[in-house]
Amino acid sequence: MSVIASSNPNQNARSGIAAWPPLLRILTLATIIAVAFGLYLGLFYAGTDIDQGQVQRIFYVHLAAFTGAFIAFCGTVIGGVQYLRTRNVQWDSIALAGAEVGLALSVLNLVTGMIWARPIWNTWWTWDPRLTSAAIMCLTYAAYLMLRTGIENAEQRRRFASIYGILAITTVILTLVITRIRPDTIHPVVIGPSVQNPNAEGAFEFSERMGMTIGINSTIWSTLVPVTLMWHRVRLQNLAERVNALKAEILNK
Amino acid sequence: MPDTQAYLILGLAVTFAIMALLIGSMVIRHRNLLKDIELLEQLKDDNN
Repeated sequence: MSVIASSNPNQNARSGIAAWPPLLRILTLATIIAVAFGLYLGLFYAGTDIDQGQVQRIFYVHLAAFTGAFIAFCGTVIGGVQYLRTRNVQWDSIALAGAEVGLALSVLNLVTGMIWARPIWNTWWTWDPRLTSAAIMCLTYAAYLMLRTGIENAEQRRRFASIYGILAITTVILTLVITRIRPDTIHPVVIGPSVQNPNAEGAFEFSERMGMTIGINSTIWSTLVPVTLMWHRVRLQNLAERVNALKAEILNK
Repeated sequence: MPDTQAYLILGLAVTFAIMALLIGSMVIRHRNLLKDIELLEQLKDDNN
């Protein structure tokens, strides 16, 4: 746990990059370089799809953002379970960080998907099972963040958020598997076998270079990106906890 | 090959915007919390 956040509030209260733990500094730098490298591969290394043109390159961010969101939401589940087991506030901070980072990445996934769909499906949005489940997933985690602010009692809020965060993962799993269980979706299944999908529109055959770019981008966005962002978010939450503790201290005098 | 470059540029712009929004909001909240801590520490010292 000491890697996730300093237990020393004075250390947390220091400002600027100098106050970051060395590992976080290295991780942040590595993430920036890796994301730029992944983007370079997507834009210049992978070939251009003949049927879809340049817009197909959005896919490298679109899929990668979903993998990142998935990992972040798994962080919410782990944080929630561990909080309920140990009542250690740090786990609740990790759960909150996972929900916030995961929401940002899933919104990114949703919006890039819409932009890709406009020239390929000739519409920004359709109530396709995959798109609908992805929208429900985003709304579920947006509600998690809103509901947290609505509960005054800290202990009750953390307990409620833990249970909600654990249950909310069902929307992520549903989004993940829906293209394989619903025959009426037009969303293509790009990776792995699909039992169905005669209706899929926008599927593409990928070359070796495209496959490598997908793999590298998904690895970067499912490891470095969520972990780095969540670590920063946990440190922010530690400061918020410090503010709350100081307020309570002053009010109780 | 269809000309869909404008959508790629839009997609990249949105990607940067969403990430900037997330990181920017964290930076702003961090600054505000540091100010709050400074103020509260001062109040605590004044009370002592």
